Amino acid sequence: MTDVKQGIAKETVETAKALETYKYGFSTDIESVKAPKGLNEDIIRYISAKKEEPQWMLDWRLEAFQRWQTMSEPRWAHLTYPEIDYQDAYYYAEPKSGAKYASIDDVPEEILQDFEKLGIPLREAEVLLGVKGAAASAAEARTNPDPNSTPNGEKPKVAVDAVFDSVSVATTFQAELKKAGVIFMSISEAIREHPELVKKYLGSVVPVSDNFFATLNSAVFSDGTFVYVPAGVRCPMELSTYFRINEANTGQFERTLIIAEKGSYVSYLEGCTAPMRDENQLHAAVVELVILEGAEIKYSTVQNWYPGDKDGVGGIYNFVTKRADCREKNAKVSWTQVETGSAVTWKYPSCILRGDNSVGEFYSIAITNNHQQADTGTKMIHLGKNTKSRIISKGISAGKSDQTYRGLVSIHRKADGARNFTQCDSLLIGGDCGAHTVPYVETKNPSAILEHEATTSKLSEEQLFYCQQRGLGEEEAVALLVNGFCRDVLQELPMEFAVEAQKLVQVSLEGSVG
Amino acid sequence: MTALKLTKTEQGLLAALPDGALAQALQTKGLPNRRVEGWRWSDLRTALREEKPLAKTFDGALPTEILSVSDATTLIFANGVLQTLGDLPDGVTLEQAGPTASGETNLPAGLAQSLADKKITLSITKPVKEKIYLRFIAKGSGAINTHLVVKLSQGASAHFVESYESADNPFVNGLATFDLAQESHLTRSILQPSAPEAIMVQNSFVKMAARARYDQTLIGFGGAYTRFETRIDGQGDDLTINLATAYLLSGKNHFDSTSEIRHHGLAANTEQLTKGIVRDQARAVFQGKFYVARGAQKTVANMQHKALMLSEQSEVDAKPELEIYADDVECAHGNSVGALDPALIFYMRQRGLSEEQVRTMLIGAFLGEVLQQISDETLRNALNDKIANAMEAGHEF
Repeated sequence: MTDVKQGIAKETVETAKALETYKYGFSTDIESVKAPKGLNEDIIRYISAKKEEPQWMLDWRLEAFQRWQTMSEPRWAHLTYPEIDYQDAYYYAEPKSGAKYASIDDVPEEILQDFEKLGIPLREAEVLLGVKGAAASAAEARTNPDPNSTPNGEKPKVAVDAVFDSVSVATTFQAELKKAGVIFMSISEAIREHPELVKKYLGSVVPVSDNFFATLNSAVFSDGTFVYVPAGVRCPMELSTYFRINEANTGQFERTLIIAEKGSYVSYLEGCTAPMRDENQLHAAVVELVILEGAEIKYSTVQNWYPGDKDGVGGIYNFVTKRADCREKNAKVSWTQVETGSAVTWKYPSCILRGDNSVGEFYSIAITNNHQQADTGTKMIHLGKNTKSRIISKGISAGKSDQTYRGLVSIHRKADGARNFTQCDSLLIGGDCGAHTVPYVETKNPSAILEHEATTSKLSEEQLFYCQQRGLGEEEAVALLVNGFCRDVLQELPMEFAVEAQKLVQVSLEGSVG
Repeated sequence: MTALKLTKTEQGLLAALPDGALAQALQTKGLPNRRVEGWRWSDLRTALREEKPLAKTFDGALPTEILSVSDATTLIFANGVLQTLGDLPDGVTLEQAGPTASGETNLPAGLAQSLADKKITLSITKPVKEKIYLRFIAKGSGAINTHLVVKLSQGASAHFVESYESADNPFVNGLATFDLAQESHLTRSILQPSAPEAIMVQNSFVKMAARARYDQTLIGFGGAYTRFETRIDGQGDDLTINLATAYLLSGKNHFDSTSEIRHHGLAANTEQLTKGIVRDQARAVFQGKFYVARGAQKTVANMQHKALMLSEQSEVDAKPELEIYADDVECAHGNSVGALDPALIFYMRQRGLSEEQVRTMLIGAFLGEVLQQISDETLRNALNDKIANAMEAGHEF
């Protein structure tokens, strides 16, 4: 913030200044074991050996690596960043004391504290509200009465899989989930314990050679979450994974695979943060969702990777491939994302609506400030009859940031009666940012009905004036209006996230007025 | 990277081109194809599989006028060669020069510059009441290139009526550049009748100074491959831009309407409306882009694309794009694709109309909106008749 308008309280200005910086930028000193720098077949063998993987998994990785070497980085997105040197990074880092711990008591205190600071207690007894990683302030949330508590004072439980650099350090509530038949564990464990499931579904939604970053991930993925919900089971609690990059110069390549069998339901949350560092770090994840007949997956993300500083130095490069396959009839998937972090975001959570009557939803809020760049959106591929999709995207650009909504709605020949509704609205705060919309619509069936609306505007002076007249500060007024602008999406978030997300929207924009 | 293997067509074009950046671009990238963003739905490389040698001169009699334009001076380009040159209206001059070396990065536009028989420059120095009718007539199976330069001086105005008529299976490639000085006003009313065998690319590059106005109406019936690309570079403040397009596609016709409007000045007012119907195995492509530069405040720009699909085998692809760097603007775009509302058809049939009549009426009403901005009533009616006739002819547009 350079120019401060007159009439704004000094405190507000200072608070805003303080908030321009990133809250989760601390790093934890913990000795770690890293694979040598660089990327080659030996590194892949090293990762695979570290994870005690079977031969088929290693072969899968090596094949992906071979493919990757023939591919080139996609540059079609509206993003500018320097050439990435894929040899100048570590592809594997784990705490020295080992990867997975038998009991939470064995997890090194530093790591527990690290997650504690992020607001994610890993000791089950301490789990109160679950993921607070995205909270504007964990402390604040504690002092405020919690709006989500159930009437009898019990707090909803959230099972957490905590991924620290390349390894999953703890997965909570596994026993309780097991009773319900739900498998919730790190993908490394799943490869060892449920190879038949992993073998059947891994790469079945995002094929190995899908795109440059997905192929890279297939070769070097380190850890991530595996969820299997058996037929007819409604997962008894929210599942969540918290990703933390701690080491310098290290990329994180997580892989998540969720399978919802016939008639099941699961709600999954994902949060992420990283320390403040001057160099850019790479994060290339792949998320695959398989949804069978009548099942539903609700997938919510609060992405708060380190966005770089005010001058655009440092920050995470976030290249993510997320795709859901509604494989059978009446399947439903809902992606909700709040994107506030990362220096560069390249992410298009997609839905393949294969089963008749299947439903795909995409709700997104992306907020960019300072020098952030985000190119994000979704793909809705309608293959089955009477498939429905809805896209609500709200983009807010401030500072010197650039943001693009890029989406595809594709209606195939046999998708009789398919419907899509798309709304993408962009809001610009200040004259140095950019907001762009690039929708692709392909229709091959006359019975499909597609509607697309998009607007770009700035905050209404009148509304701001009105709010300020009633005693709100300028920044409060902006936050209020922006929250209103985002409401359609915020209300899709699970309760645990909605409060945090709302605060996050506020925090990301503080300092952008003036 | 392996070197690109050029198609026969590309080899032929390369041989015809002088050495330079354009030849090099053709050699390394080939003709625009589906791997190139902006050409993903209209692959020119594939469309031009068959080699198109440079066209021979037009022989035989010129076809009768497809549009009778009253009160107009007519210029006829037959296979790219300017034929007759009657008296030009007061305030209009015409110059002919040899082809120019091209600095273009747009391949078809560059080819038109380099390979056109002549570069024709029309200068308009004052308001011209009389219309100027440009007839582009092509036949045979060769490649035809035209390069037209139009300059409007300050305060000048003109109304161009254009028709692009192709028989047989030529490759018609045209470039027209329009330079609009301050307060000038250009109106273009364009008709492109169906040409089921012809391949055509028409590029229009428009540059606009302050307070200039550009109105373009395009009625297209498509062809084996038809692409109209309009690029507007709005440099001055207070511009007025209207683009209206209607497409009616049948058979296997392909029609691509691509546009990019760049707003650099303050307070431009842009309206873009594209409406179309596709039937049989036809395919429509709409790509629109609004660019609003940093500082181009108070820009108001609205883009709408609406398509009706009348058959199982038809296809509509759309990409309405916004790229915005100024915060005090109002930009919107909308896109909708669907079939005729069965409830509406039922309602009107109940009132005694045949299905054919109902469809004609509904489609006529749907497309009629596009012609609204043509203020010349005779011309508007003539174009309206073209649409109505096409509808009555049933499947033969």
